[in-house]
Amino acid sequence: MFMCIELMLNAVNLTFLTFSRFLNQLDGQIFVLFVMTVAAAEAAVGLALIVILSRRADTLDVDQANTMKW
Amino acid sequence: MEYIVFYGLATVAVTAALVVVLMNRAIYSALALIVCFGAVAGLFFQLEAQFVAAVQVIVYAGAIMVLFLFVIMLLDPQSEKFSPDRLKLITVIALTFGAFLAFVLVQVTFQWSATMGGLFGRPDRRSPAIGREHQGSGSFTLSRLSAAL
Repeated sequence: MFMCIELMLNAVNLTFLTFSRFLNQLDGQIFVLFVMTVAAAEAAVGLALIVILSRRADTLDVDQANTMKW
Repeated sequence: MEYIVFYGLATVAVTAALVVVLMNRAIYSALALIVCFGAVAGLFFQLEAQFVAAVQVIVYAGAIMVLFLFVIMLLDPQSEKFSPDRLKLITVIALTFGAFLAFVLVQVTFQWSATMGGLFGRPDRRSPAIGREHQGSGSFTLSRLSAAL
């Protein structure tokens, strides 16, 4: 699932760069750098959460790690 | 020549993305994602964004995917299996959204000048007389696009 997030962010980057070239502006490329930074940070945090989840719940299935009342 | 490169890289990227989504084992998905990032970096290069392409290879394929691979090998997830009911539900939802997305994409492709006119406010240069009418239909396409997004 985290890999799908990376795919979607890549798609967004591609769109930004396409429009940046279409409009002959550099703004798209600057924003793509921002998006890549955010994606890297979010991937690191998400993977850390997954490691902790697997240690606490002994499973990677979030449906089984549900401790809510209902 | 440019078209050959573009279509080749695009085919590789789409196929690798499909492999990411469809494989049972996570390690195969991660390796396919690395291939996808390489193809997309080639597309970035073709869009004259050479720095972004280099950053993509270094950061995405070189750091993020290595992190992914480490976590996958550390946790050793079991291969996933869906129950038949869940698989049917997922197929129905995916086909519905896929049909809607295909509809929007076809609209954007065949009314390209109208869409661009509506998005950027520049009427089609070849037909200034009916530029305003194109802008009208372009904003309708834009509203449909934004609803899909």
